[in-house]
Amino acid sequence: MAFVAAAAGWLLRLRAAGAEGHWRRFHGVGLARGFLHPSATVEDAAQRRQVAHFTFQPDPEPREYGQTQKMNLFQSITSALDNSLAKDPTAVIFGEDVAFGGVFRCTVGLRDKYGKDRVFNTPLCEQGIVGFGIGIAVTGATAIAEIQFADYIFPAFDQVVIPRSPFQAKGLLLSCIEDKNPCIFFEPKILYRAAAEQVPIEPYNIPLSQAEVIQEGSDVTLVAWGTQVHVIREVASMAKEKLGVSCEVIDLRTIIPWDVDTVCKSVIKTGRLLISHEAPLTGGFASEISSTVQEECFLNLEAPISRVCGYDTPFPHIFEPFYIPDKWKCYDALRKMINY
Amino acid sequence: MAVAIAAGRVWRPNRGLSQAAVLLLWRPGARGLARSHPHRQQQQFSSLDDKPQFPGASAEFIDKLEFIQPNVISGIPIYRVMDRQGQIINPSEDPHLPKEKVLKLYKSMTLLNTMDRILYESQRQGRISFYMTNYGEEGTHVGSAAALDNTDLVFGQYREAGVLMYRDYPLELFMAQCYGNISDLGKGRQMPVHYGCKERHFVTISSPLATQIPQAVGAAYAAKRANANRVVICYFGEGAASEGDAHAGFNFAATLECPIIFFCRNNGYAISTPTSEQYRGDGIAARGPGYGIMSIRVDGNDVFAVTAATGGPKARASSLSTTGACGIMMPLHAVGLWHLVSHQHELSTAPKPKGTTKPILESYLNSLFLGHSRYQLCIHQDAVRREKPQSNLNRESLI
Repeated sequence: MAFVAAAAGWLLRLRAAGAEGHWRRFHGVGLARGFLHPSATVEDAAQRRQVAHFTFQPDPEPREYGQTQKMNLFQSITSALDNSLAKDPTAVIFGEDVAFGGVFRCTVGLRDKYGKDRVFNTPLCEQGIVGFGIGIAVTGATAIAEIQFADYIFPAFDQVVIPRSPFQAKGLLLSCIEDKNPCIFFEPKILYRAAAEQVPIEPYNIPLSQAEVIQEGSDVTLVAWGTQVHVIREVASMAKEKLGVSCEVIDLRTIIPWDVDTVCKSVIKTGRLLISHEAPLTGGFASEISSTVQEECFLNLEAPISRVCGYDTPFPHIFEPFYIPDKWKCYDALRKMINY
Repeated sequence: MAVAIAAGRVWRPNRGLSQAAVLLLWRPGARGLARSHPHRQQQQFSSLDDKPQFPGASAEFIDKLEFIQPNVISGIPIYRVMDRQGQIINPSEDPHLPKEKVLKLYKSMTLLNTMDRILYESQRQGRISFYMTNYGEEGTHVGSAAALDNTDLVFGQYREAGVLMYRDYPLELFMAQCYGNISDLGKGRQMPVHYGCKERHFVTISSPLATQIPQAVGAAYAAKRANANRVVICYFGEGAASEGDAHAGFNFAATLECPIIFFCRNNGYAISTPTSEQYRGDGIAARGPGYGIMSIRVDGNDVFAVTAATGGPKARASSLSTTGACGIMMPLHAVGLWHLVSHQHELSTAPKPKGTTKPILESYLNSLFLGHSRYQLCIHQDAVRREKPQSNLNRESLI
């Protein structure tokens, strides 16, 4: 796909593939209903059996952006889009089923608020949606294209961003929309409702291409993005508790172009790196990070860089729990690295 | 609108077309276009001839500036056999299907409907992760399946379970696939409703829409070369017809003369997107002639009409022998039931609008769907009924 250097930003929002793990088989109807109900909240967690391979860990309430409100991931997306359309009169949102609010409810209320010429459905054709979006951006207007499922598209990825939480989602999405370069913004489906925290109502930006050190540590660096950040956070706790190992946890946030400095600075300190993602191992982004880090930090490494990823197969349905790089696989890899 | 600039090579069309000067959309006629190959028809002509000489086009000149308005001919008409009360309208169009077949059609539709209800509930209860019902479209599945040979290859989209049902795919295997358990022939690889069965010549369903269309065309081409006396049928919805793959498939089928039936199930919606936002122009059927594909529009709620259109001598014979591709569009509108059909989306993503689900679903379940009930009425009026009351059949399906 040829990206013309657009005069204004254009953005492709994609539902992240995979992680349908929330649809496990249940042994009781009651449990299922509690989880499946759209308004299931984190408070129900105590009564529910753990159904996902991670636990969402909200960040502390942000103080520097004004008043906040509790939002889950899809609501924080809606908030970002609302802010964008309010600020930028050229901005339009389009894709399959966005008019009625979207299949994941990310565009609820926007058509009524901003008009049907700004929030509209397109025919069912991903190549058409992307091409159409590029055209809009060429004229200088802001195009926000929604691709319903990332699995349905093979774009050339020039700039890829993926949030781990509602607060991150809104800030990153706003930055993507305002960036003059085309951006692809992934939204992990499993977090749409499962992730809820306090999010500022007013617009704010989180910088692109800047990773975040969520937790400082001295023995191992753990890197992930999106849903997987919550998995490695838990792995860090397990390592502390069981092995007395101190982990530095990094959320990459922007996949391309990624924050090489932050990751390398951390590896120079710790000497060990573990990268984890759901996507298959071969050709997955962990291989890219691994390659660059060994170039930059070769003499600092105490052990080979570890990648804990999906298998080189299509994402399976019933065997998803075995495919997913869960906390046990990550913990096991970490242990091997420590004992190297 | 075709503006063709004359090029070096000239293709002389079959002049027999001149009798069909008024282009009737539903009767493209034997244009001979599909059979002739341009490079075989170099002809000498004198410079006194004032005939059009444009490659790839076959038409007369006109000296009056006139645009073709998109819907100037008021829509391709909809073929049906029964009226809404289940009466055969034109006795000569009565397919006179044997009793066993008529009963089998009814049993399959009823069984599918019952299975749908159970699996729908299963999804809502969290027993299976995902489900797509076939409500309202049972007639298209069994009607078309009845017209095919058992060895004809089927490429579906995701709402064609009735075809498998008609081909006697066991209920246990439907369930096994949805649960992804050890009995699943697909080995738990895919989400529910992604059925496939090699023995019954039903290609495994694939999630991304319209991917099956070019594949079906390739399969048809191979079948032609193998002289297998098989046709391929390719099902898709009116939304999937917007995908680029659909365009590619139609065009390949026509140019490569593949024995394929394109079967479009038009239920008016693609999740929340109505047809007015999916396309302009006279639906999917009107696209067929544009590709050089013989086309018809049929009432999808009329099982006899579906059977006739799919398997009648025209469709099948012409598929096998000459021009190949045949397009059938099935609008599935039913007066008063638009809103029900619009909820016909997959169950794990799109939510139902608040407050509307229960009453609609109930009224539907109580009355069965229009196609089904019209068929009921038809059997009701037929002698078949006296031999096997349909209430028995309904009850049997629930066992």
